[in-house]
Amino acid sequence: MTAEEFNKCVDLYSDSIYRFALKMLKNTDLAMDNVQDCFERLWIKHRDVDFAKAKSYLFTSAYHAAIDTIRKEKRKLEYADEAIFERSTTNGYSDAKEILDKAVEKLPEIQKSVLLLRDYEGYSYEEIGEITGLNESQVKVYIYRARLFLKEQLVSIDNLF
Amino acid sequence: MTINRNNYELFIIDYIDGRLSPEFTDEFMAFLNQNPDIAHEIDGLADIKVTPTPVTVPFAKETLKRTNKLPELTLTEADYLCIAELENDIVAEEALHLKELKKKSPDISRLSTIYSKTKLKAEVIPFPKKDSLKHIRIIPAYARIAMAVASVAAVLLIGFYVNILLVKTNRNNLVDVQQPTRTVIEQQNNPSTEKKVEIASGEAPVTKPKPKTSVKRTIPKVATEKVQTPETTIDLKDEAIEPMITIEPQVAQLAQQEPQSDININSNSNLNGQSVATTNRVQSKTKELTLGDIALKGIQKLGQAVGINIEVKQIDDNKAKKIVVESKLLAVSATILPKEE
Repeated sequence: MTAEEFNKCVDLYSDSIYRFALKMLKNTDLAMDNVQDCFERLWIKHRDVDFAKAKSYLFTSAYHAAIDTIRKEKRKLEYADEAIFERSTTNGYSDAKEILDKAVEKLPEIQKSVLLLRDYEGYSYEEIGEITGLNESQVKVYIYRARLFLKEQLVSIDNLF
Repeated sequence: MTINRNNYELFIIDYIDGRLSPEFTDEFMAFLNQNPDIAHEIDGLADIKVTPTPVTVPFAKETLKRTNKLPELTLTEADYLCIAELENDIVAEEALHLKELKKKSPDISRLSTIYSKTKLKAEVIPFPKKDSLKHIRIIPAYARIAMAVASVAAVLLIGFYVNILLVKTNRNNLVDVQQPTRTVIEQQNNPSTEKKVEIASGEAPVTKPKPKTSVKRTIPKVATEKVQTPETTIDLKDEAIEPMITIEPQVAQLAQQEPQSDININSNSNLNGQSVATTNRVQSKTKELTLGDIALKGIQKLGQAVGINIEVKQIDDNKAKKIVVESKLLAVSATILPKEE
């Protein structure tokens, strides 16, 4: 991949990577660090990585970096998560999207990752498996579980009103 | 092990708890029969027990519980089919079956609608520092110009320096212009030549360099010298090189060392009062090179080496030279003024 192609990757994928990292980490600073680390790693390897594989490389890198960060910052993130949840519940849910977002945040990291990659980026089970290191069946099971959980959340909130 | 008064305490607790082996139990009972005071001490000990008081925590135990696991959800057939439909992972038979289920039960249709809401919609969240990620290799224009100028300047300086070094090292051999040199030694060694030489004092053959295109120089005749130095006409074709007169000190030294020779030497006093012999002055003429000449030569050689077009233009009625260096990147010109008289 040339420098021009690398810069094209920045234009094409940096927003997606940032969105993925932000959803995973729930912290803008950590998400920005994640994106910068991913592109820095890609730049170091840019001669070895094909332009066609760059997106997958970036998401793989972002996924692993996010998991590492979550493990490191687990306590802080839990605290932030609780604070956000408390604030939301205090203010009340505004719409189904907000409910869904809160429900996604409550998903385990692995389920959240595969669901984000599936819905946001439109990756296939196989591609998600390559990114996360899971096999296709595991990816499918995690997605099904995640959707079931989200449905339960939507139904339970729906029953409240 | 024999139970005695020194170790009986080891067996008491096991005896009370009923964990003492039958052999030791018999032995222990025999020991107690033999020692009634100890038997009295142990008597009633088994009845002493501490019973726990029921205590409950003053807050809900549930608040202390932590779990990362989600509540177990059972994936029913309807859930599976709805999710498979949403994921576009449903086969034809399953799709047909789901369609029938939807027809039978409106709840299945509602369930399918709810599942469709679990599809996350991608938000547009622009990354704020996108430009900082890019690796731009375009060098700004001013930096390129500065680099080009610096490169040319460095090359020119190196050229000047190398040229100066070459000129210094080869200075003695640089130019010995066509005038044959005759020294006293040569005259002594040549018997055929008249040794008596009279040198007219004060006729040092010092000539001022003239910046003419063609310079003719005439060596003054020696008054009483039989072997006359022939008049020599020097054509300095290279107009950039100006003649410089050098004095060879060896001649004077040799003349002083041989005062008794037949050589007629007119002496002059120098500033120190010492006699300085002025011999038949060797008409050694070397080319005088100015810094401008050296620079010019250096640039010309450099230009030939690197393929840069270098022109030397005469300006101000041929009194000054202008070196013009032209390349694709830049043009540099330097004016060399003539040596002041």
